[in-house]
Amino acid sequence: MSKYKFIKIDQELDDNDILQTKDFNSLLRNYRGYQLKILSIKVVVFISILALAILLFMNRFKPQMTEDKVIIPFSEDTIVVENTIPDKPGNPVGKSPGDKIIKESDKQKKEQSSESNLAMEYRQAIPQNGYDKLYDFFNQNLQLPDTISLANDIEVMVTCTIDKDGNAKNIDVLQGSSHIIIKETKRLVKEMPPWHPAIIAGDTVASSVSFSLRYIIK
Amino acid sequence: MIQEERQIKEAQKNPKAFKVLYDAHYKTIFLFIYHRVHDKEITADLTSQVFLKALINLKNYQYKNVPFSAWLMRIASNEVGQYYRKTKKMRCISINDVMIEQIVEEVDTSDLENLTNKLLSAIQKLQEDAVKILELRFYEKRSFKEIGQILNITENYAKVKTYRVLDKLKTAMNYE
Repeated sequence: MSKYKFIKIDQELDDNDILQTKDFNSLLRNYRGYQLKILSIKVVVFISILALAILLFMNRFKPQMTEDKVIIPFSEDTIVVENTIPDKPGNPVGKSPGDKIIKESDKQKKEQSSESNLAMEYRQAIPQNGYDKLYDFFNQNLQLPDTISLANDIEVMVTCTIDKDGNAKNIDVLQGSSHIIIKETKRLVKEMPPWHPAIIAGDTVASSVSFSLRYIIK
Repeated sequence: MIQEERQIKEAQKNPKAFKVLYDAHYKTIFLFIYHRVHDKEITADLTSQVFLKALINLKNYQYKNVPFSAWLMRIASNEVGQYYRKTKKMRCISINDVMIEQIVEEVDTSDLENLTNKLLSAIQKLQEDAVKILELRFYEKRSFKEIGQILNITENYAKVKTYRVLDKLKTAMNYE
C-alpha cells in the first residue's frame, strides 16, 4: 500500500496567485485575539486564586467553639454540674475538689430533659418519711434531764452528711449555747431513721444537709 | 543578517513591525508548504498558521546567525506534519525529472529509465524524516548547512543523514 503520493510539478505557481493569499491585517487580528484569550485565562486564574486565598484566610480566623465554652440554657429546676465526683463521703454534692455548682434548686429536681445533654438529675437527701415524721421522732425521743432550765427558746442548726446508705455522719450542731442541748441534739440526729440519700444522674451520693431545731419552753 | 536581526528585535517590541519579515518570507514559506500539500487553499491556511505561530513565539526567538527563514520553515514543516496527522491524507511528494536523475546517480550507475519506478517504490518505504531530507536536498536543492538550519541539526549531521537515506534507497532498490 502506498504511503506517499508523487506529484510531478511542471510549472510553479504564479506570483499573483501567491500574493493574493497574503493578508497581514488578518494575521494581526488573529494575534490580538490570541492575546486576549490568554489574558482572559490569566484573569480567571488570578481571581480564582485570590478567592481561594480569601476563603482560607477567613476560615483561619473564624472563632472556634470549644466544648467547655458551650453554654446550655437551663431552667431553675435544673442543675448543671461540672466535674462531679460522687461517692466521696463527707463531701456534699458539688463541693468536692474541682466541683462547681452553677445553679441549685431548693425544690425536688425534675428528670433530666432529653434535649439537654449537660443537665443531670439531682435529688436532695430527704427523710424517708418526710420532715414532719422526723420532727415527731425528735419530740418522742428527746431526753433532757429534769434539772435543765432554759431561759428562752433555743434554736439550733444541725448539719450532717447523709451517706449513700442514708445514715447521718459528721454531725455538727451550731448556734446552741447549751452543751446539754448540743449533746442531746447530736444523739437524736445520730439515731434518727435513715434518709433517702441524694441522687445525681441515677447514682446515690453522699450529701450535706442542714436543718434547724427549736427547743420550746413549755 | 544584521539587518534581519534588527528587524526581528523591532518585531519583538512591536507586532506591527513584523510586517517586514512577513512580506520578506511569505512567498518562500508558501511554496515550501505548497510542494508538500499541493492545494492552494490549504497552503494559504497553513501559511497563515505558520506566521501566527511565529508571531506568538517571536518573543522567545533568539537570533543566532541562522536565517530567520530556517526557523519559519521548521514551523512550516511541523504544521505540514500536523495537517497530515489530523486529516490522515496521503502525504504528497513533489518530484521532477532533475530530482529523480540526481538521486539515481547517487545510488546507482545503471540505466536511469529502468530505475525510476524502482526508485519511487523504494521511496514509498522511507519514513517521513527521510523524505524531508530528500525533498530539501534534491527537490529544493538546499545546501547541507541550510538543511541543518531548517531541521535544527548540525551541517555534518545533515550530511550524514542524507547519505544514510541514500543507502536505504540503494538497499531497497537492489531488492526490487
